[in-house]
Amino acid sequence: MKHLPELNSEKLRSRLKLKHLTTRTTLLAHHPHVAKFLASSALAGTLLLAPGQSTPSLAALPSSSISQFSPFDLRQHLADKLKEILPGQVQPLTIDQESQISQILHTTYGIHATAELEGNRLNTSYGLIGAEQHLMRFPGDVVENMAPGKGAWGYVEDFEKEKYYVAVQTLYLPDWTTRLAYLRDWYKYRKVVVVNPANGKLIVAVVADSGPASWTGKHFGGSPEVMEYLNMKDGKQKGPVILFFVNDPADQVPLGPLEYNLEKPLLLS
Amino acid sequence: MTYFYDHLVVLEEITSELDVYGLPDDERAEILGLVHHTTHQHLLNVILNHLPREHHENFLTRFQSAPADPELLAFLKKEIRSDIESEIKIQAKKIKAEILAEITKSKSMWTLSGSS
Repeated sequence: MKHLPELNSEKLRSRLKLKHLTTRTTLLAHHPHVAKFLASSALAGTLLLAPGQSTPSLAALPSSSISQFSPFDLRQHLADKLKEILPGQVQPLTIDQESQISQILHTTYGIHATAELEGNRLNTSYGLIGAEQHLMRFPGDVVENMAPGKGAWGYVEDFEKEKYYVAVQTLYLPDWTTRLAYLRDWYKYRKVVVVNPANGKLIVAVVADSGPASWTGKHFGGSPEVMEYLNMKDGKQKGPVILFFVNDPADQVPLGPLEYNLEKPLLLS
Repeated sequence: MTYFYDHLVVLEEITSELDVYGLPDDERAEILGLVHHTTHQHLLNVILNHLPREHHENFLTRFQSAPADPELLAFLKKEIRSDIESEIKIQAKKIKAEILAEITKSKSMWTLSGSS
């Protein structure tokens, strides 16, 4: 008796169609201008959209993609996966490691996040984060644990952005001085995701300040709310995190803790 | 259709794997079409992720008019700081592995009675 494999071509076609849809959705979510640009081109039918098709929406994903995982499951899954990828010590990641992490963040949380976005990247995407103080939101603003001056981009008028902000070391970017005007605007309130690999917790924030200084040994700073959510209030106020840019041109990803998959909503029970 | 980065993308392993099963021509063509489209969409996303936004329109215009033009790769190498050629190779291998995994997951075992 001999066992031979047989290909279920119907199953394969379904799986590939789902993968095709996923890559198309990813491409158009990252670069919505591509669909518009190519709508009238010869590439439209072969590369992106079949004639007559419009830009797919995330809600168009098949029902089989709906997640039934709890926030705890998601955190545990992410922490386990990151353990397999991250080096033993905090250090800049390889492109392959960054790519793997982007993939895991997407499959687990439905978020499109990368270490490099539009040609821009920080000196490290895996580093130590320390606690920052609150930033002033308007002249005369006074709250407990307030920084003495304004942030690198002035008053943070949007309260939500002040609540969930990070500081990154823009001053140490190799091209910061030569491309100052462009980079200053690019980084202002740039949406990022911060991940604590130890517990799989993930929070979406914006860049609202520059720092910390290199002599502190830290690479990023987090607002009080960011640090609290990530469980980094253990006294040391410093710990390893992954910090990636969120590719969200339509500004659809909400700031704050992310505890569900953005593309696969949790089933109500 | 051929693309300027085709020499960096080796998909023959997928074709060989599929050909083991002797699929009807139309099914084979449809599946290979999905493979190629998926791969190229993924690579276009990778390229645009690395290319500074201000060059997207120029790149897409040129890509639209002459997708196989080797000058497109030279353009990307000039405008992208990281090694985009290696990145395309890495990402092509990655998507190929994912597609091969999909083929593996679509296999089912059946028993050939009477054979030794």
